[in-house]
Amino acid sequence: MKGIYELMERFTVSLDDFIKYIMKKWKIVLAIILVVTTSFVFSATFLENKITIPPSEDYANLKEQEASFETYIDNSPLMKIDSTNVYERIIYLSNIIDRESLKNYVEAGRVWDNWDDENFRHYFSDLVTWYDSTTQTAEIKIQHYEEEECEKLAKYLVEQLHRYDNELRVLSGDALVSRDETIADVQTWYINRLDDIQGQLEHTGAGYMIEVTVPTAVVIGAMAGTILSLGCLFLLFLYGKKEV
Amino acid sequence: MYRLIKYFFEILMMFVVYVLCDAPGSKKYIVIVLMELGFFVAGRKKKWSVDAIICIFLPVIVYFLVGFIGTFINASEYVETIKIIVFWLLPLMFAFSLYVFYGEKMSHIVDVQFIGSCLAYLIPKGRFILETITVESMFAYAYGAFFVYYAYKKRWGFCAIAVVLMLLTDKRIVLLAAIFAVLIQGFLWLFRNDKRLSLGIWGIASVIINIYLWLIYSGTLQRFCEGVGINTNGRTKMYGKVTEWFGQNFFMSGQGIGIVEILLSAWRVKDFANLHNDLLKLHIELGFIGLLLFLTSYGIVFYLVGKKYDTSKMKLFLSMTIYTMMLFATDNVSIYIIYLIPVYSIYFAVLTEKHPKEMIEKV
Repeated sequence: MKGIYELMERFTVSLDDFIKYIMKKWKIVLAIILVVTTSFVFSATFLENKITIPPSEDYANLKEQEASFETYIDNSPLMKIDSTNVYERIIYLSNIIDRESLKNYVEAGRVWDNWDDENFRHYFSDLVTWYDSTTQTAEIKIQHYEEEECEKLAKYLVEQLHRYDNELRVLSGDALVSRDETIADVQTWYINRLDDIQGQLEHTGAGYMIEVTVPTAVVIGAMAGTILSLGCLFLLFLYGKKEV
Repeated sequence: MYRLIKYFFEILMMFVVYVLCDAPGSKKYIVIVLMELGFFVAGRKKKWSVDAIICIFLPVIVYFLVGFIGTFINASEYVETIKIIVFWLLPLMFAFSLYVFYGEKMSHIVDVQFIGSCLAYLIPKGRFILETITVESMFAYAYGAFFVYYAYKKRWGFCAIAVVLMLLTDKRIVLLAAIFAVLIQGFLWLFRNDKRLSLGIWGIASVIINIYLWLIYSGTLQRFCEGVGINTNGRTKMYGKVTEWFGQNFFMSGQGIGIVEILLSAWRVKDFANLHNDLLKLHIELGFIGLLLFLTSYGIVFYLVGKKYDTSKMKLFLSMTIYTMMLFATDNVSIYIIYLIPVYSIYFAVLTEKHPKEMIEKV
């Protein structure tokens, strides 16, 4: 062990000798600093004076989900319904020949293909609920937050069902104003899910931009160049070129 | 035989001390105070080194003086002020009482403390270690300090044990800070523990500390950590909230000792009874100028140690202080007696030892 310490002692240097060596080799120090500083300035210019750390993949996915949920909450009529004051109409169906096909037609949203307002076609599937009854009958419940719109939907649906199957018997029930807690549950679910996503976003890397101006690049380059030049000179000093 | 029995009782005593340090509650402080009084009484006729006392007490004295000025100016003296003072004084006085009793044998009692702390961690947590390998513990801070000390002493066996225990106690900052502190020791050794270089390194460290605090006050650190996705367990958010309370003024005057604890308890933030950043806490308590004075007091300590003792001891003080400052940057170790007792004991041990195992350097 003592031999190892004696061997290691040979690698120690006097600070005064090292400082004298640096002063003698000042041209090398200056050259390295200039090269490194120029590289930093060139890199900063090449990078358009900014270093951008992109957002993480998780952040991008969450942002997409957030946008999707926000759009739905802002535009879906379901989210605007007051669950204690819902306009409803039931459509009674009988003489159904192919129940599955009819159910798919209603629930898959194809029934809205001829609806005027293209933007909101996909939201109205949420306002229409299919209820299975006995084999030959079924019910469709239509809900909306406006009575007039509810009537419009019901009329349209009846027309489309007649067109789909002219053997089908369609009977429109009376208009109702009711209370529906399931709508409140659905609305709460969407709002909570959006809150949850926004909470996750706070802990996910959104990305960061570091502005690197030319003066900053010069300072950082000079510091890096100084450290590099001192390191190189130290190694030169240590391994045999100890000129004082 | 007598020596073995004495050794056994010393280890048992330190085992009890460290078990108490790790336990919650305030009754442990009463036991430690009683032990202190016992050591002071038993060692009252022994000689002390005034130089050693000045070197170790100076930063604490500066903290109290500057902190009290802020406390009285802002009329912010509260129970928390007294509590912080007790947290700072208790481990220092305990180490001092050990020094008073043991004198030149302090390095022996540091070894005993290390063994006692190992047992105090391994015995209660051994079962969990077998299941999960790592069991997070505040002992990590102490083992980091022991690692820095034994690396300085070149006692590689104890160093290796300290490394294993640091890994088991699983605190990221401890590993980083301890390794960095030992690298500083290695760097200084390359230049034969040059005094000017040591003071220069402390100057650079002080500048870095102020830059770090400025990054917190400007909100840059918080934005960067959130942007890049670094999990700080809510720390950067809390730093932002506290600095906003004080007007985000980096050049503020000191608000007094204990002010941060008062603020956090008024906010009743769950999981944040402490700020988890002692550097920021010191800055708020002492102010910009006060913190500079506090950091300068460490520089004076290093200078005095280099002048009155030798430059290798100065190296230990510098590396241990840098280790401490790195812990201060992300946690509240200034109130952890489990960390401060070994650190102050190590300081007394280093200043009282006669023949350090080192290369003989030119003075």
